Amino acid sequence: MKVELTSPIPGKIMKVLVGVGEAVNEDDEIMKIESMKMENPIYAPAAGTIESISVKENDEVEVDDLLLVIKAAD
Amino acid sequence: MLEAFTNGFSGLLAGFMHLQISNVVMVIVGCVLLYLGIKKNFEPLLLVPIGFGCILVNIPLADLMEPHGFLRTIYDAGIMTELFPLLIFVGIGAMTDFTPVLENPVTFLLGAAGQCGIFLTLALALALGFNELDAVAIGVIGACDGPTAIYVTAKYAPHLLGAVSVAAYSYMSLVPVIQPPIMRLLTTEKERTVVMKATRKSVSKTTRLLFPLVITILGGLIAPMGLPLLGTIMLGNLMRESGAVERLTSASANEMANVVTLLLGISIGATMDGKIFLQTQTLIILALGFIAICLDTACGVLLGKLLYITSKGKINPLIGAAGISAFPMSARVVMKEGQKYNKKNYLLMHAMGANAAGQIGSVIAAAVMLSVLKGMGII
Amino acid sequence: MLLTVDTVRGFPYIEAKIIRSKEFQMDKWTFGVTMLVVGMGGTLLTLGIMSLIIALLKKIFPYEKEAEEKS
Repeated sequence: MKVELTSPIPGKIMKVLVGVGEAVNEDDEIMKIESMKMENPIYAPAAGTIESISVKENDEVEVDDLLLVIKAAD
Repeated sequence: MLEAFTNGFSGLLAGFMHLQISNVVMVIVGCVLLYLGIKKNFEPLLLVPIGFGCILVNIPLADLMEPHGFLRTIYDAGIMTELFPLLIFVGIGAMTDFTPVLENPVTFLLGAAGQCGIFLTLALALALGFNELDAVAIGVIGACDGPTAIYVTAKYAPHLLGAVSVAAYSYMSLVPVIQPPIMRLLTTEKERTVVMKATRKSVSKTTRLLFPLVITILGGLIAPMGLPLLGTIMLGNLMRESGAVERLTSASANEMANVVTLLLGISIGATMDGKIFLQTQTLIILALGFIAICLDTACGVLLGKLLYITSKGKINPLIGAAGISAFPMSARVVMKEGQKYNKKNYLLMHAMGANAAGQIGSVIAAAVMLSVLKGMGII
Repeated sequence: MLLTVDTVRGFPYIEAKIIRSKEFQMDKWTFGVTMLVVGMGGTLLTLGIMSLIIALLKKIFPYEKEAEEKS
């Protein structure tokens, strides 16, 4: 099952903490987005493996922009 | 010859001879403000000039606040005339994006609830013995908005200007410390973890442009005494949203806001003469200011709880705490707290909406307050 | 020193003060309650009206994606 993580806030990607193929647990910190002069941690919506990442550092994102896709572990 | 020498020399010693204990204490107070601003990052843009102005005015015989002193000239030019807070407001309007409020107009009510602390503290101040206009100035600390508080206090209780400004700006910096415990106390686990999804884009450019215009006219008709405040912040916002006066918008938000902030800070510091500032009532005012912000937060969260019920669990009460005008600190606090209780919760945009609503709410609250006072014949 | 600021501030302010002491006899209790009720209530009401007007504006001028992307 594929889980899409879309951006909940507008801002700039500060840091991507995971790579494609990595395994993550639910609620692991996977990304940092800078918004309103604040560093905002983004957490994994589900446990599984990172299938694809659609953004890189310094990208500007809007709300609902696709960030990455997780292949959920069943 | 000897007499000339002695007199001349006494000119150099006179300052020390006239030094009173109140001067010394106030210089220390000024240094504390500088410390808070520089080292602790408490609203440095205001506290640094205020702190230094305070030190300047408390060095004897310089007469900086006497009729021809340079601090007095600045004070008369901008605080007596109310120009400084109003010009800063133009800049604030030019910097603020009200889209998050417009996305969900219900947040306006949170912006209103976040101002209840003003009126409750006003009543409390009255009960403690302050007279009506003093109580109004003390209550307006709860507006959590520098220019609004300065505007009201400079006009109706100028002797309290130092205390009110120091309280307002210090507590704004303390919002991350003051709010979370209250937010936690008044909400249940279930309410705190409500996830609010990002709102769909529903605000057209036309709406964003008409918003400042409509608010100014409506607000001005209902509460004309507040039109200077409301009109200036909305002018700034109109310029921003029109996109047609980029140079003016930029100058308002940057050059003008920065210059005026500096002058404002110095003049407020210049009012902190020891004889006026060092009274028991200053401490009481500081305490009441603290209470005002706590009450603001509480009322905001409580209305948030009401909206939680009426929206059938869709609205997270925590965003009510962002209904105060401490922009954008309060929104950041709400975002952090929300994520603390539920990692999947990103309340930032909703909190920003409530925070911007609080900005408008504080202006309307001050405007209403002044217009009611005018109606009652007190001003 | 700041007290002189007040008295030097000009005629309207002094005048208001004099008029006030003559006919204004409202007690603090009445004042406080009025401010609480009319003030707080007025604020809530005003902002409520504004939220309704904004909702109306949004209905009249809806967000159009293609037009927005261009501007």
